[in-house]
Amino acid sequence: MKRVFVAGIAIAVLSGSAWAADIPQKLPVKAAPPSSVASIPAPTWTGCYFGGHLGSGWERDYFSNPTGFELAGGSPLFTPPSPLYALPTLPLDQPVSGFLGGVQAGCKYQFAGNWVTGIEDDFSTAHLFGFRELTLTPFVANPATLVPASLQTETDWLASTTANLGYSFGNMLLYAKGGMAWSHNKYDLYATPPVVSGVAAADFQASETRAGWTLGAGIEYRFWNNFSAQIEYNYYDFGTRSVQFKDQLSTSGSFGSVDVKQQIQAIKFGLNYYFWNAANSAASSTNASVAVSAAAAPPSMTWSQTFSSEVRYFSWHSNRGVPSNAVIFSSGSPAPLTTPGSGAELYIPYATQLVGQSNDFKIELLGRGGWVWARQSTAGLTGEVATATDAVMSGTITYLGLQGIQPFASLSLNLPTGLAALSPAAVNARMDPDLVDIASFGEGFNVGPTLGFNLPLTSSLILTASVGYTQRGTFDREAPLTPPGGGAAPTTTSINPGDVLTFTGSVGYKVGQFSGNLTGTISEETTTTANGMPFIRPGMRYLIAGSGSYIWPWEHVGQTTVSASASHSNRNEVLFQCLTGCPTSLVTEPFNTNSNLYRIAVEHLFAFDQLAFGPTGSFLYRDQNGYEPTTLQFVPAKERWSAGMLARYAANQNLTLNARIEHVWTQEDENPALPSNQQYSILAGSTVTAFTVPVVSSTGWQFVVGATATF
Amino acid sequence: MRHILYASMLTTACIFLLLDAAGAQVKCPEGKSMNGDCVNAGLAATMRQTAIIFSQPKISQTTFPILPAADHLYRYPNQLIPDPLKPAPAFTVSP
Repeated sequence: MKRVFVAGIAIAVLSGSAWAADIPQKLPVKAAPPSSVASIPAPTWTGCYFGGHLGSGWERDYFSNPTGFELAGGSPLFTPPSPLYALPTLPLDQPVSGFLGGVQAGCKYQFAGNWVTGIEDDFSTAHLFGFRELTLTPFVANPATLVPASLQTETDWLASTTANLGYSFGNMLLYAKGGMAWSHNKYDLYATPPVVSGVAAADFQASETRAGWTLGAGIEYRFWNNFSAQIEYNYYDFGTRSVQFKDQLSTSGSFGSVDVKQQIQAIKFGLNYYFWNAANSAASSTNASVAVSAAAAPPSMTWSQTFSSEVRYFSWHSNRGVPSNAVIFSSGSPAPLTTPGSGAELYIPYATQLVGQSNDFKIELLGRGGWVWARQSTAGLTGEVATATDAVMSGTITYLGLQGIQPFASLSLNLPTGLAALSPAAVNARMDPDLVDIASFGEGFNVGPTLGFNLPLTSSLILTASVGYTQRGTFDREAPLTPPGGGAAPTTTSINPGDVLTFTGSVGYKVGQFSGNLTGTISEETTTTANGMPFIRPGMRYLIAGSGSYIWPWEHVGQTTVSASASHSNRNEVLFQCLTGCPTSLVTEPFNTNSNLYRIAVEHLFAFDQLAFGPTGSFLYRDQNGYEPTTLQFVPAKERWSAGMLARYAANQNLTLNARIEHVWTQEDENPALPSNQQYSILAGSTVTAFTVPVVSSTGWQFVVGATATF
Repeated sequence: MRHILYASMLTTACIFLLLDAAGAQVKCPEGKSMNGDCVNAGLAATMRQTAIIFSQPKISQTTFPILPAADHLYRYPNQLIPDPLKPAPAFTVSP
């Protein structure tokens, strides 16, 4: 019986089920428990160091007040928007993002107990890159002559000299910093007038170094006496400067200038080596084990670190590509693209978690990023992209000092380190997320605070309530369609997504071999705008989800977990577009275009010492055809089945390996034609002929291997 | 609403600091239940994580702030349409 119990415990831990987390953590599927972590004496932070860092940055460059920029013949490139076409011109925001990496060096001094101050210099080589397509109307006398143009921005290095002030919690230092900063930037504005205009192309280029200021905050964690790891957020403001451009294609010399306002945000992960440290010096001279004053040590907090990553590969085939009702234009008339579809995706997420525990507080910090390569091979819908994804971060603090209630506060962030707007060559790499893992690689800067509490009625029966608000930032996304008739590809759309307010209530229970939970949420969202215009306000959303696990009382039989969820949304408020006499504000849609979503999943794991493996399967159902008007498509009712195997192996107390293989089947119902047999095209400004998409059947494979390590 | 929530968070943080100053002694890793027993630590941690994830359904289109090994626990309940952020600017004209 004891072996059965041990096996049950092992499988519960190995399963990674949320409901296995209360079992003594022999394996680090979740954060390591305090018992597995040695409490390291707190060091003094006084010392000097050098190190390196990697990170991501994103910026907004605001271009305004252009002068000059004349094409051959004297036509100014930037004119007020044409009253006929109202195409984009300056001013505009240029989103820029990418990677950076570099070195830093500095010194710190600990004083008055736990306070720490210091100075630091850092230099980062960067590839913060932004590219935007424009359509300009430089010929005032003939505004119908459109000039495609592109604006490219790159920041290739950043540097700063800062002072910092922090507070030490033993091995952990929380700090803020501020000081001077410098950036180097390159710009390229390329315009290609149509041949019929008789005007030559222009290539205006510029580069500059500018100075500004920076503020930041971070967390630094000491280990192995002389090393530290840190994560840091920096905000740079370089103000507005007039940037001088020169046309590289003009032999006579043509110049232009434009005001560029630059603000940069960056997240850096750093590693430092303390080549001189007061604690070590004191220890060596006095033979003391730790040179920390009593005042510098409190409050006592133990920390554990977890690193987790997976490699996921997805491959699919279908009788249609994605989107399933893509069109081709033959003699100006739309016709369905009927070629079979296929695609693949490689996604590598990685995350690190830091958990601190004291008598009164628990602090949980997590940072996560990823990299993805995706390619759709469907003839006529090919597209390929390789990019970092957005990064997410979260921090949660829980107060444990009250009997009967444990309040917590959490802050989650989405950092726009991925590609939000894809180029025309990459846009078809957005594939069905029921067949691949992710179909969106980036968006804006989102901030999500959450407040809540656990209310343990008994040690094994807990009620939880929370409220979260998600403030979502603006981002650019490629416009989805080529206009009917096969005209020029549309430029990007600036989307300001609505903020979300969500109330959540849960009950969780665990007794003996059984555990279960039930969670319900209600969400309300504000209006999303596109290019500053109200676009949609989604209806209120209701969701319920639950799961239950049972550890069977027989040797090696293991554990079964069943989970299920359902969601429903009320009708949206949308921008009604029609031919004549349309309302200009959002109106409630006449029928609900949101599909209800139901899902059930079953998983069973057999347990053999350090190995657990077993079958897994799921069924998902979208119950009705919903309309997805950015692509002018219906989202068909859909079934998704999956079946596979998963396995987890505990190599030792600090390392867990996992693998999963699944086969997926999806089937979409017929995409209905409208009663009028037509659809309204926003881009065409008129109705276009509709056609019926037949049942779309797809199959796919998913392979996952991963590892979780605790230090 | 956003300002109210931020103000609430600040207030909560202040309360935390005051409570810490009170020096309450807790020996249980996830605190105590109403009758004074130690709360099941794994259950409490999971309930808290679930509440945070479900309270931020649109914090990111890419992922929730969790370890990759836990993705399958939260992937689907919040996914309503294939691309939840693709907004609906209009719908078809009436016949």
